[in-house]
Amino acid sequence: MKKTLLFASVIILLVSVLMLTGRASSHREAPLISQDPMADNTDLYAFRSPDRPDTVTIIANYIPLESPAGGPNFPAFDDTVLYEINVDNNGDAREDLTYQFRFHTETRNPETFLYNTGPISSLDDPNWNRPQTYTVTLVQHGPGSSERSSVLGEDLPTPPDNIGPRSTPSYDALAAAAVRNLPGGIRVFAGQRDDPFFVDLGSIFDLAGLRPFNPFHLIPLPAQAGRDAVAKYNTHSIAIQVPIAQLVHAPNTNIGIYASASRQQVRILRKDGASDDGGPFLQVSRLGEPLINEVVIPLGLKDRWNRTDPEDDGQFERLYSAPEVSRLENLLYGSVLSPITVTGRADLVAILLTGVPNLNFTGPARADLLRVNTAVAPTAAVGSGNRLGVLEADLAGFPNGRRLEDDIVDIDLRAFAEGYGSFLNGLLGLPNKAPNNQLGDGVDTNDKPFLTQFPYVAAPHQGYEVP
Amino acid sequence: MTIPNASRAARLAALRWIAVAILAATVAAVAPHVMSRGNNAPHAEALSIGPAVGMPGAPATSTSGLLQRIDDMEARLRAQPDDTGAAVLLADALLRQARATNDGRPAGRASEVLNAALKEHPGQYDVLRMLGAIYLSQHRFRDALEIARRSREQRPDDAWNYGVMGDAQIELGEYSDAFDAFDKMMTLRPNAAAYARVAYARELQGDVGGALTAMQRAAKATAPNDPEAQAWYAAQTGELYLKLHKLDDADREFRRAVFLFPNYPLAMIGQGKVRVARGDREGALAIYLEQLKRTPTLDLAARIGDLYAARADAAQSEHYYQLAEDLAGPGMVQTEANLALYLADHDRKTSDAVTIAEAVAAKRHDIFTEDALAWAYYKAGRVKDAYAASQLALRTGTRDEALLARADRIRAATALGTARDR
Repeated sequence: MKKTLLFASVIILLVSVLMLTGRASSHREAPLISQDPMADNTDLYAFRSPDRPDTVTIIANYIPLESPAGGPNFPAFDDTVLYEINVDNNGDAREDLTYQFRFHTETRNPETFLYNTGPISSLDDPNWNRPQTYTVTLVQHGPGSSERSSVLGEDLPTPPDNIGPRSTPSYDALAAAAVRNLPGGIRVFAGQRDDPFFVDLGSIFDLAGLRPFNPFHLIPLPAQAGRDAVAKYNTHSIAIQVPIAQLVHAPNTNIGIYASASRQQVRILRKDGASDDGGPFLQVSRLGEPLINEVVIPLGLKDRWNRTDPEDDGQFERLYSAPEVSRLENLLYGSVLSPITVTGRADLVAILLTGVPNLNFTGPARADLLRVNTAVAPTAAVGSGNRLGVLEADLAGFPNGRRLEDDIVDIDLRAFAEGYGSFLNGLLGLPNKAPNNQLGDGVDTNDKPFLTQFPYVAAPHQGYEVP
Repeated sequence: MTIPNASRAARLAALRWIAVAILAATVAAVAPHVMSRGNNAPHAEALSIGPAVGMPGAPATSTSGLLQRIDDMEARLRAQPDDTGAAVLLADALLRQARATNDGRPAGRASEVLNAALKEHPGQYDVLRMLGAIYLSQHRFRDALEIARRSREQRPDDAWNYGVMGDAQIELGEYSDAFDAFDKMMTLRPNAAAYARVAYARELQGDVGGALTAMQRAAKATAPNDPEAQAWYAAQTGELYLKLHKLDDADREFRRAVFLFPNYPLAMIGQGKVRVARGDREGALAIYLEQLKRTPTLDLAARIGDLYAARADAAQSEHYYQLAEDLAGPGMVQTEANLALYLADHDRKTSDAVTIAEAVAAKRHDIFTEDALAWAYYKAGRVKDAYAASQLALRTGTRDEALLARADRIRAATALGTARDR
């Protein structure tokens, strides 16, 4: 009897083990992935070019945190993504000009899966097995939904990724060769670059810590210098330099800009036929002002926010006027900061959604756009402007557009904490609470110096040097 | 290939998705603990949990990256069993591991971890939506559907939930609902995951060429740091080329998959299939035998048995045929009809084949289950039943050649029977 029982339980055990360990089988388990780095805007910059002051340079970055040594599948723009830079020049929050970028990757030798089979010494070097070219198209939006498209450049080269001294010697020359002039005085570049953003993420992710302010955090630690967590990472930049006259709608001098990435909707072919792969594009990522998607828009709304056009941003206004960031600053640094107003923040709505009166105001329509007053002349060579921009009276810096050197994290921390500094307090009566006006993450500059010439963003870190 | 440093990658987690995290989500996470305000935080709230494996700031989905991520998250869970984010990220990596190793055990662990997290935080969104995907991997299709519907109620515009729903419905044979779910998924968020599902839906309906273009699009839309998904898409592209009899293209895609993810099971087997199609049975046998050591499955053992049979090596072929049966496990635990189809196809235990296929068909009505059922009936001499099931197997318009060949045989036998009846 006992034996039978034992036998039975062994069988049951066996069966359940088999059920638990059952081999995965033939059914289709396609990956389920929410994130989409090639169609992910990381940052947008726009500023009057110091070395060509009759132009504005717009830089839209995509693909976050590229590890320089990330082979064998080196990052590139996605041929199936529609990358766009949109410009509103009449204040209605709708794009009047759209610069479209579509990429095409060639596989020179389908028999190898390697990125390169020898040194890449020029952009048409046969050793480079996966060269990528692109087309720039300008779409001019007229009344109603009328559009006029013109191709500004075709078969434009991109440089390879910066792999190492054997694969990509003389990288700067390769990259320089990929800067192209288009008709009308437009200049473009697209390719891998150093990620110009700088921020102490490691500390900020640790319960929103700011190392220099460690002693004043709810959970105090000794003060430290900030550490740039984006140092040594690359990204992919699309840079375009356009004469101001082509961007503005005279006599307006102010423009609003956002960058986006869209993917094509491909429908299942039903039995009734219907079209194949020509579905409409859906915007899956957008970026105007920095850090909005990260700081202002809550997780549950991100997909919807990314799908929404800036002209419909009125629905998100409450997230700006009663920002969580300001609440959190009160909560974590309440012992040292002057209490921050957490509702009715018209200052943030103005700066981030309409532009600042007498500086870069574009109109009453609420829209997440990076606004540039093109009448404000550059104040310094690229990289040499005041990192706190308008907060310290440098009107050519953020939030009047955004330069590479602008310290967005510190500016935002202070703005959300009502520590605008004495200049804006005097000019616009914005609050200048202390020590809120000293907040910062302790990372004040990028890890690589910027270039003084287009495309200004530093060369990418090399995989060989940065494992 | 180099894997980003673990601790650094973990700390960097999520850069731009969450960045200067002063972060709304942190409020929910921080306030209750730091302020000792009790646990009235809304458990259903979506968490900011950092990037999944293969995404920027996380380890790659290479063999070593997956192991590293699994180790890291298991360690986090040991240190803090209540770490919901770690549970979700662990489950995600285990799911990849299950696919990359063709082994069901990682999914079992994932299910355990997520269910434990759900006990602590009933209805927590990120746990729920991941659990749906894990249930799919475990062939718990009804459970997956149920979970995906619950999580859709929380976040109706999260495309993921429609992916899980559609996958479950496809396996259950509820095609119309599945295709609606995939279309909805595409409407909300076109991406690689959605393109791959459209590809499968097209293939099921006989549009292999359309499936190929959609699958190629999925491959292009996949992150460079995600070789596992790259390999999956490449292997699927190879399968579609095989179906189009483009052997060179198929072989190249399978080789690409193996280049991206060494020994990727689908692609290794695919390379064997190409060799069989080219008449290189010895080459195929060598690949299959090697792969069987890594991923012992019914399918692989049966293929090896077939190759020995073609060589007229009865002893070896019987050895592997028996192994195929053993690897499938008992008939009563089958969640799919591949064992039934195998038994029927090899004229082994044909009455068992009917019993098993009927048991599976009581739970799901996808065309492959109906096909297996039809073939089992046919081999058992039940031609009318076979014809009825076969008609159901043809209902989506599939161009699957083996399935169509069986349907032809059944149709011929039915016609013969009808003629005889007259």
